[in-house]
Amino acid sequence: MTSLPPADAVDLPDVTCPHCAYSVERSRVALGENLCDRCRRTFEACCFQPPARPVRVQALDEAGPGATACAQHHGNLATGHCARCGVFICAVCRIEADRKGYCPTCFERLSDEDALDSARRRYTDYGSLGALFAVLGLLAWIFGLALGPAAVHYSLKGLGQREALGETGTRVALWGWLFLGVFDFLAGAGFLFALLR
Amino acid sequence: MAPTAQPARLIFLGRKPGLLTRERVLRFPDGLEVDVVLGVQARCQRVFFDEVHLVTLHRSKGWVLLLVTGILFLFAAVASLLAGLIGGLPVGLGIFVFTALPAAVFFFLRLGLGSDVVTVHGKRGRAEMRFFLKKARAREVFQLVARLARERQERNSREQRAAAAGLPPPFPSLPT
Repeated sequence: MTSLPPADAVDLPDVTCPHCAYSVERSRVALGENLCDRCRRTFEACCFQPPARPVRVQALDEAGPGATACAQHHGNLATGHCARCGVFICAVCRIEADRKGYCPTCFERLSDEDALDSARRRYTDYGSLGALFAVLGLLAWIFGLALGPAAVHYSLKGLGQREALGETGTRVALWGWLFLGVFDFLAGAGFLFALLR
Repeated sequence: MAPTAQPARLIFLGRKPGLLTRERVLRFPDGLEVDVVLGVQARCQRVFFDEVHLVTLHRSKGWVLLLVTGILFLFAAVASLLAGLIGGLPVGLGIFVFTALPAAVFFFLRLGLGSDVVTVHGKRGRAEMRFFLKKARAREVFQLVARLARERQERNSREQRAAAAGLPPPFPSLPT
């Protein structure tokens, strides 16, 4: 077994001043408060030297009889199989997501489909949808009978979404949109009642 | 191994409001997730602790917001003055209190306090959080992220050193 050189060597960019984007040499930035040479404003910084992540592979020849080769790299010993398609994969190919190992092709496909929680790239924010309906209902309260329940529905869905994602933090805004939706509905109903009278 | 069905716990750290988009920054065990919400669609980006190379904290005034609030205040003040001239003092004063005064209060608060910005630079992405009134929270988040990144990177270094120490002589060929 051996350490391969990291696929991407750690090449750290210079530190840029957060005020004026002036580039400062990394070695000149101290931990704590720093003064920008150009704009003369201060900022606090904490620099890191992230270690490169080496990949360790074992050659098939070294592994002895009965060992299986990686489907992609025939010289490498397979360390497992893809959790989706079952193909043998080596340490280079293995991509871990949601505590399962996938081959690059399956990982690409699953992340494109947003099927992996840890590789989730986009989702519909139901809270925003609730806010949209609530504000529309407030602006056009004649339609409050339809927009209000929609706001309530999506605000509740937004609350459920935050819960499902395991998010912490305040949900005041979502409750606000929910109550605004109720208000929209009542205003719409009041308007209709006044019309019918 | 932990069960896979359990979603990762996301802990809300801060947000960055923008003109068209708003960003929410959440912490998960391996890094930060930035949810960029445009309309009703959210796009996720991640900054991993083992790739963080810089964390900064600075105070920004947010000149665009100040300018907009200042203009709003001027408009509201002129409108309330005109309303006062036409409809009398109570009308003008009422309009001033409900329109111009909040804008003025926000303008001066913003000018005086500024907004504390925590920026986390990763290898492939960046997370930014703005804190207007919660200055202590900004510092807390800055220290928390710096600590978590340091701990993760130190752990990675230790593991690599330990693994390297127990290894046989190097293996020459790279996989093709």
